[in-house]
Amino acid sequence: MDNTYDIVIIGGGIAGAMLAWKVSEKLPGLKIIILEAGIDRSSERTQMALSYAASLNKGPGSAYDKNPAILLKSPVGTNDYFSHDSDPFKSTYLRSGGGTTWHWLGNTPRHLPNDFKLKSKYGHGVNWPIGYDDMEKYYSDAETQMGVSSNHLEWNGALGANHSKDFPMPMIWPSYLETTLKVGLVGKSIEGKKIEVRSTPQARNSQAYEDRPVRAGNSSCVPVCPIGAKYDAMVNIRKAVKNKVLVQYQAAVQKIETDAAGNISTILFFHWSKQEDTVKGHIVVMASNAIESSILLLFNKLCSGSGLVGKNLMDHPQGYGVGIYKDPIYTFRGPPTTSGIDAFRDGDFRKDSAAFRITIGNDGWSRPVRKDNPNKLDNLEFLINEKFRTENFLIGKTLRQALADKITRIFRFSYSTEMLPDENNKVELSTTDPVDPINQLPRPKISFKIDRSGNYNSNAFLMAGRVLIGLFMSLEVAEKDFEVQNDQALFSGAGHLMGTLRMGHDKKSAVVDKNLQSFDHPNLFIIGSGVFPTACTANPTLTIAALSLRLADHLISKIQSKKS
Amino acid sequence: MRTFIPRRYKTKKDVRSRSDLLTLLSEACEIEHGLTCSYLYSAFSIKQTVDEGITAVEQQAIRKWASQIFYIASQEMLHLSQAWNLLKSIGGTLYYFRPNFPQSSKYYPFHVPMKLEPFSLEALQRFLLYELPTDHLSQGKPQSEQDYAKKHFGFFSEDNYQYQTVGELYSLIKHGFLSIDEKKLFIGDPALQTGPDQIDFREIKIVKDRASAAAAINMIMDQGEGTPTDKDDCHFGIFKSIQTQYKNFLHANPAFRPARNIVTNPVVFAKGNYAAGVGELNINANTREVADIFDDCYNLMLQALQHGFANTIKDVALNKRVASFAIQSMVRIIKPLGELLTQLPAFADADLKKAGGAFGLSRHVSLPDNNKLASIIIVERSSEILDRISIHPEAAVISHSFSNIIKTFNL
Repeated sequence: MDNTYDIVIIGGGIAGAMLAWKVSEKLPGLKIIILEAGIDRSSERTQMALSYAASLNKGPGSAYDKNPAILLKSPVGTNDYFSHDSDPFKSTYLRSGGGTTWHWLGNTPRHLPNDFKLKSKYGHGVNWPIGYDDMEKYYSDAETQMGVSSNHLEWNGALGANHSKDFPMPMIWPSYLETTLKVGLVGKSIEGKKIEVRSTPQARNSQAYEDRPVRAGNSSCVPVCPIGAKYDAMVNIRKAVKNKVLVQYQAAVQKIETDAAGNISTILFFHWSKQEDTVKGHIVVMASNAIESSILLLFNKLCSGSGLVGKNLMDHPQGYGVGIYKDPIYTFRGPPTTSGIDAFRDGDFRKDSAAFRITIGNDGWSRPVRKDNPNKLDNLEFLINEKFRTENFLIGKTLRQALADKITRIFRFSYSTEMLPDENNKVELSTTDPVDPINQLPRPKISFKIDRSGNYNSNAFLMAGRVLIGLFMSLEVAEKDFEVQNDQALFSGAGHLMGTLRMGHDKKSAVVDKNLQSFDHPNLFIIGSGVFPTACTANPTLTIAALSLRLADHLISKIQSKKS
Repeated sequence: MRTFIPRRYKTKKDVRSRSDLLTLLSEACEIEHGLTCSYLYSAFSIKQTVDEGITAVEQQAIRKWASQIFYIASQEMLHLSQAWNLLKSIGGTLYYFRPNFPQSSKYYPFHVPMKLEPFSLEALQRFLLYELPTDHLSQGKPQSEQDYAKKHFGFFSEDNYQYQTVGELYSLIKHGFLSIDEKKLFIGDPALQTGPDQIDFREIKIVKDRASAAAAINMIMDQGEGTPTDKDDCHFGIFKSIQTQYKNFLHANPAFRPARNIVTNPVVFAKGNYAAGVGELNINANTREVADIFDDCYNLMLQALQHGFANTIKDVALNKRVASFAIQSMVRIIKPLGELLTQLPAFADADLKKAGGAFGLSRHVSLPDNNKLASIIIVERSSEILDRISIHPEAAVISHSFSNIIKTFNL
């Protein structure tokens, strides 16, 4: 069987899925294959939801990898990385068909125009080789593909970003919590910024959309939407398969060989059965995440011209504030968040302090407050096991009433901060961790420290702390009833893996050019948030999708011009 | 929303006047309203927990079905509201009446009466009939509405309707809007239109001219019937998908029963205004009281909705609060009470069927235009209902929500 393809895509997450779908849509008949290291979980959705429901630790990984037959594990916590200095890297990902979009939150804000020129505008980081205007059409296309619900009137022109098209669906109805807080914050200004609670664009259905149901308020978007109302990349994988794209699951790539001209020639991968296989591609696209793509390139000593592969790893370090509202606000109904405060995503303050985005958490304290956190506010486990039962001797109905009184009033703000690129924050090949059992590739060794020089990010933590205190006070939450975590050392990971494969103007300062083409290997392209030069404040998924659609257009015109 | 149109509106030529349009739009309002009740009743009956005789996997599936039906019902409410804007644009007034349940089989031309019945394959069959897309008829099975009704409901009529769905009813309405002289037709006060800034229906369209009327009707038709390229996400497509899944579950487990065993067409009191006589009376005294509170809340919600939509209130902020009161009531009062009733005994013997909300429409819905007087009536009625809720333990489930809605919106 001919194993040569027009396009070989390594990685079946959202980046690869979008690219494969669009190219196959425009150029039917092209031979395209996706090599996905994980399995197809499409038939397991309900079981995963049940697995999550039965899980004591309800983290992003709690619905996955319960099956001992899964040979290729995903990192589910800091301990799954070999980290050799400073801060732990706290974000994880899923090695599976559809990738991490299975357990993503679903938020899809766009980057802002000034995000693309952080260096020239505010003197930090680097500029992107493209601007917002280059991306606008593709943002809009990605919103249509993913099915984004939001409010055009609120977003068109906001923070300097025009939206040429309406969102494909109206906004998700705000939760009762968010409606209540919005009323309490009308007319408030904090740190010189007017506080506006704005609907968060999100890839979750406010209407039936493309044969997927309207959201049902299961509140389990992370780790899994039990009904498929939230977008995951399997949507576009299925569309690509309809267009005759071949998806090879359980295919862990190991060796990538080049020819004399530097083009990628042969790709060797292992099936989970350990059987070897090879494919060849006229065009090869690396579409794994920022860590897995780096491992593959480093292992094969590819794209080495700039010396930047694996470097400039970034995340959106997070902090939070928790409070007890004066009245019941009934969190846990609907998605984990439907609104946010975007005023601090841009402004002159970025000359001194990183930008940040605030979300209003509709999931109470479920995420931040844990027993080992030094919160003065009691976490729920402590309330149930210690305070109510042991100290107050509450049982039966009185215990239920005490819990109901508390649980219906707890709420949370979180903030995600911008992080500057730093070459010392990097992914390397571990020489001490066990290798992957399928393709024998090393696991990542990660060096990660926020603010290695200066205090750009920690300033954002301090500022966000002040803003959150202002928010709680504006909402008339008593001082004893709220607590703000603004210590950068206690940051949380956002699950946003960025950097490591920078896009830029030239071979010395970047791994790929503005068209995502490798400077070292003419037929190699790279997509995913690995190519982000800076982190900005937007959740990265929409930009990943938009960049893939942009690359698809580039490849389509390249192939068409070659044919003609 | 789809159904069949009366014979008297057989052709587009018949829609020639404002009066024709007002009559057709009022009929559309009535059907949208009735379907909302029918769908909600069915969704309320769907089991929620695994201790109700369903497996965890079945629970996951039927929770989705309930959400999908609630979603369709909410779109029917949007359509009703949109029809109100269409009415107002040409000088009409809000129409919100409908016959109570049980209904006469001859009341609507499809001769298959709307019912309040528990969720079942038969109920789904009925919903599919209501929502039957126009082009479905021409694609084979069934060959005609007559065949369809006869096959599934044993109904046979000699009527030979040329136009068969409410999609076509809206086509007629659209034709009227497009063909009647635009300058003469749109005499309604634009200030009385209700937009998305005034009520939590994000998609509602302000109607001020021919183009906006056409856009509004297209939205209703697209949501109900779908578009030529998308038949999956419309009401018919969603019901069809639920039906297929239901059959698959039943095939795997013949004992699969996704709904509670509740009465059909419940009646709280025989008030004398039920067109078709016999409904199933809730005769458990406790349940009857809760069911009566449900009907009172439903009527209060309608009063607030009607008053908010009439848009005659000069105080814009108050108008928004009244409209919001109505919308919040649907989600936080009507839904939990409706679901609660399906768990309470309908009869003296608690082991027999469970009850349900009757959606009994009283004759007094319309409130005065004067917003001061209307507010007095709403506040007074709310207070009376709250008093009844507070002394009735079964209704405590909505006690806090009710008082909070009143407090939050400062009525």
